[in-house]
Amino acid sequence: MKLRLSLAVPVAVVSGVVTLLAFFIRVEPLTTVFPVLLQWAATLAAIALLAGIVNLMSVHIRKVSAFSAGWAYSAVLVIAFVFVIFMWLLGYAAAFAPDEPTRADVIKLSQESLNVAFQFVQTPVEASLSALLVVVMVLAGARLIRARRHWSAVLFILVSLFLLVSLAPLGPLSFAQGLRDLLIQPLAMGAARGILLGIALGAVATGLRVIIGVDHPYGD
Amino acid sequence: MCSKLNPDTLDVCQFCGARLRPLVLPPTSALDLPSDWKKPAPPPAPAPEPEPKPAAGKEADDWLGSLRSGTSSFESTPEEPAADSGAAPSVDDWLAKLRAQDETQEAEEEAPQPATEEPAPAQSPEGGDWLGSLRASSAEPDWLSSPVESESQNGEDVNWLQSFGPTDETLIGAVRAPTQPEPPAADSELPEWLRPPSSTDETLVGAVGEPPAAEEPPLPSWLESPVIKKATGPFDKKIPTPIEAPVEPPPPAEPQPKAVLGMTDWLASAESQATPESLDWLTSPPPDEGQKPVVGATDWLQSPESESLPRAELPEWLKPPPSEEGQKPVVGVTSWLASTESAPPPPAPPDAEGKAVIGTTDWLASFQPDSSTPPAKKTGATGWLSSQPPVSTGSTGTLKPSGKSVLGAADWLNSLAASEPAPDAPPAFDAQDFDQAMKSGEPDWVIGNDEDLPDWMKQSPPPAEPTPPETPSASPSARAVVGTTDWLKNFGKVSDEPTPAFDMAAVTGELRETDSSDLDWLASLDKPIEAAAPTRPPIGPLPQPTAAETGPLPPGGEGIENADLPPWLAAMRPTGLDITGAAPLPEAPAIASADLPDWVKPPSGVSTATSISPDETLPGAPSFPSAPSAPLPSAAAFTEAPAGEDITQAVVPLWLRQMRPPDSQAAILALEPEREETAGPLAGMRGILPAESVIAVAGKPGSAVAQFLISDAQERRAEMLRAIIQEETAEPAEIRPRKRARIHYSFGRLIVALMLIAVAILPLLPPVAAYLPIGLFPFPELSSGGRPLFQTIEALPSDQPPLALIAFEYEPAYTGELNPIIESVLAHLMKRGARIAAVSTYPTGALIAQNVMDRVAAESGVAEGYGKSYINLGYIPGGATGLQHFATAPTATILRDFSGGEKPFEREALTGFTGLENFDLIIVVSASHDDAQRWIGQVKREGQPMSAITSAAAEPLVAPFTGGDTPPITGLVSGLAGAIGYDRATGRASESAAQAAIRWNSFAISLHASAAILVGGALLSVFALIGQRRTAAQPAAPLASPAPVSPTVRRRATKTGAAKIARPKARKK
Repeated sequence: MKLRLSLAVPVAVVSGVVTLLAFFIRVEPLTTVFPVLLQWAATLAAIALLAGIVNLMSVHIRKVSAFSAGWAYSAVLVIAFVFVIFMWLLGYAAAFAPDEPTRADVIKLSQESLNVAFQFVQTPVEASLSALLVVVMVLAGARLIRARRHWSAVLFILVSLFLLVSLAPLGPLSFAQGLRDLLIQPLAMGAARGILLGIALGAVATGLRVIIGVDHPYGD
Repeated sequence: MCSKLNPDTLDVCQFCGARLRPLVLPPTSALDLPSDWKKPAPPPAPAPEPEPKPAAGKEADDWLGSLRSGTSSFESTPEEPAADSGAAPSVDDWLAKLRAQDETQEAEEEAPQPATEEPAPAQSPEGGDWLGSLRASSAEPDWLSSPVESESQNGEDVNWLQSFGPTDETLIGAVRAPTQPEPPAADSELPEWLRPPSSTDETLVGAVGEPPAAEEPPLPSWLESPVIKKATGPFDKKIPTPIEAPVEPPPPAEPQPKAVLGMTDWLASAESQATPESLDWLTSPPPDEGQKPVVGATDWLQSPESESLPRAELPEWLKPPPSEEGQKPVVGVTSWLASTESAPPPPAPPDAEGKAVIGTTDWLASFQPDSSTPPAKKTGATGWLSSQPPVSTGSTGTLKPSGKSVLGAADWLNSLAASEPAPDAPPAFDAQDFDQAMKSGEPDWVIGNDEDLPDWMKQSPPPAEPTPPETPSASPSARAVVGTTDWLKNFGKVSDEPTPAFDMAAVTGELRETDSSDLDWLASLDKPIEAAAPTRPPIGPLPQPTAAETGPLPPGGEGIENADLPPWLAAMRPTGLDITGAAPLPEAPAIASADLPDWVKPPSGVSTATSISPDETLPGAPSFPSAPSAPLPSAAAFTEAPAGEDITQAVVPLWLRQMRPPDSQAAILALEPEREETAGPLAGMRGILPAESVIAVAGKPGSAVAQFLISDAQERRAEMLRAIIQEETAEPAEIRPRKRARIHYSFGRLIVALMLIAVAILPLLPPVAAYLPIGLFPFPELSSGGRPLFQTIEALPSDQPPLALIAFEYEPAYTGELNPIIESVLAHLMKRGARIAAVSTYPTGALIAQNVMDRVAAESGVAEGYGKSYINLGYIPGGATGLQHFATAPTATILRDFSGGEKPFEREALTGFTGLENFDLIIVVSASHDDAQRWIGQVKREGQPMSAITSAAAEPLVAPFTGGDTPPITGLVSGLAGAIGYDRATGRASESAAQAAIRWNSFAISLHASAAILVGGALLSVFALIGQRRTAAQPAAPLASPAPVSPTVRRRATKTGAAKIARPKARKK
């Protein structure tokens, strides 16, 4: 563990320094190394994604085989994964079809199955989760004053009301839309800029800590 | 052992059988002692002339031998003791007795073991075995019993002092003349070393080495006393002080007094031998004729008043105060000790015999037997004691001294001497007088003139028995018996007379009359205390309590009369104790007033303190809780004693006894005085307190326990605890079957969700939509941020199809909000004939991009234009790093398109593509500001327009990128309103546009419903808060009863059968 950490830190530091310098200084060694490092990073990210998928599957498969709590959900996940992988591989297998129509049918079958799974399964599911978020937020807003008896809560509710109404105002309240652009936009934009600056500065500090070896997000 | 008084004449306690007198060692002849321990055999006859003192070197070794040989000048001739005894038969020199005994034993030992004995040195001709001499004597040597026996024959008490060996021979520490073996005398039971040195054998062996003086130096005056004078001659002789000139020794032909038993050579009299000047003060003149040598006396202790001793000049501190005419001079005493009695005339100078008494004191010298007295049998009394004239008791039973000064005694002791002037000759110690004095119990030295004595010493105890008549041998004048008391006179004597019982009543009666400030409490024991607040415990019977005060008696208890309790004790007694029925306490035996010493007797005419009633309490005394009343023990319980007991048994008040648990009382064994112990080391003894009376005898604990004091709070808690226990035991555990686990959800959330669903779905239904007024919610116009994008797309070159890169950076969850917008933009781009390349850093973004582009392409009439009009580059891994790589080397990053086709950058849609600079517009479609910011940071090039299509939530955070002089983001379109406005701007008339317009009413109504819900919830919260404040402001109702200790516990059976405790549901807010 110490040896691994002792090697990871200098590698991370060197890579970070080179990439940072190459971004600002366009010199030949740096411009040559910089794309290589980026490609390695992209490749490693793809492999990490693949490793994550494999780990996920193994966990759920173990859960299903052990019949532990929630094994049914794990089974659904595994089945769906297998189906999708199969269908995608089926599209690649159509190339080995003996004839064109078959290959075309196989490919069509593969694509439509994946599309159906995506359009009618994944997209509605995720959209429904987002819709539930709306309900939760509305209820939270309705209980805000009860939970927090403060003027900020009242102000929040008033602003929320204005925004909701001005986003799709009624006919007679169409001017609300222009008022929204006049009042809310500067206030929100100023706060947003402050947040973005803070985020940027934090990102810079975090990056420097990683570059100088203080933080080790890659290991213990 | 039993701590009970016994007569002095008894050797064994009459109650317990313990020995009262120590046993006497057997004679040394019976012991197997080493030969060097044994005393050399005494010489057959004393040498007429004193031999010179042996050499100094040998003196140190033979001083003991010289003592044994009796060559000291303090020793008297063997015939002298007989004569002396004849002269003073009543009192013998106990030391002389010892010496005589020793000589006898030595003579006996010579025959059996002559070889074992060391040859007596020349310096110590006697060389007798002192231990052998002791052994040869009887168990009770004669020196211990002879005077007593002689007196017992006369019907008098034995003088225990007389029994200490021969009177004329024994002298402790005396040094015998080494060349003068002491002839065995008729009373020579004493060992040699105890015999008094003879006047001719006085030596100072062991001293500086000079021969002892022929004449013993006189004793100091303060050592002179009638008692001492009774000793043999050496004691009567004046002992010169160290600064004094030595007294001339007597003529050698004169009979020498016996050696002082126990004396060292250097302490030997100088009369018989030459005394060094430096030690003349130690020498004492030889005893007078007829006087016995003083045992245990030193010359310097000799009384100056002895007629044979010239008055030595003592140091100032030893000199007595100037005595008044007729008063005895007291040497060595302080003025307060000076007696007021008439002092005898100063002692005459040493007589012709020049007997010196070495080592004696006046009071010891006074013990020399009087010549007029018949010789007493040498029963062991000390010579110096026997030389004293007998003590005669006066009318009051007090011992009166012989009229001589008491050396070393207080003046008040001397005052006890007879009023008549003392005779010239120092009175010899009269054993009979001494015995009489002992019997009377009023020794002179103890009892003095009432006028001079302190109050606590004035009273003379009543004699135990009538004063016996004086014996003929007794001196008419009472002689002081120094160092003796009434009880001492009976010591060693086995009297046939019955021992009078201790009369407690007499004592208490005497004490009642006592006016002593410290003894009133004793007197008051027998009488009720009359004073309101007496300070001393009363003596006497306790007052009887009234019947109302008495209560039930414990079993086995007997009434005890009330006794007079001291106020302090009565105050401590709990009221209401029933003391009636307690066992009567034994009363103390009555003691005759005459038997009590005067110092114990209360002065006459003094009223005794009265006792207080048990109910009376001293002012300020604490009050005690009431207890069962009981009569106090009676006076008889306190004063009467069981028959045969001499002392009063300790009395425990009845109220105190009743506090003891009754059962433990029953366990107590009967304490019989005559109960004989049968086990243990005290077996056979009577009157022993049984050890197992309470400890070993098991019994039930007393049922009569003290009353518990319980407070109200404790009682309530106890009742509560009892109710809890009863409740737990009474109600059976209720076991209910377990119910299915219910899904707990919030009804508020359900209602809100249903409302929102309804308002979102209903407007979409045609029947509902038909009833909606048109323009209820007017369509929005193109926003200010959307206009730049529109203008940018409009400004794309038309000669070549522009190339646009669209980044689909959102998840399927945001397709409902973002798809209408991107579809409008794509439709506008496709209308303009632009080529579109799609890419995503999300795995699902590529799929979304594919679907959107296909739909829009079909709408735009370019359905077959994939690869020609649009292309999907697929997924870019690595996030920001991937974008950087894509921006740096896009062809190296993307090797295949989303459909699997190879070399996508060589497709018609990307003809002439060399890098990202070839893209005329980059549009980032994202649901969060991070993606837009990442694209802005990694891909944005200067001079390359970039626009953003975001959700309404990300718009505030992306809008800052649209400000400034050179904003990174050229146009920003967000939400459904932007899509509808962009469609209206582009004039898109498509199905999606229509659907978007249809969803606008639903969208607007949903927004307004949400607003309404927020308002409603806020209003409800406000109303609830107001209600709570009003409730809190109202006064709280008083609690009627305390909350129950524990609620009912209901148990539910679980799936596995285990019971679960149902707990009360908590109130939800």
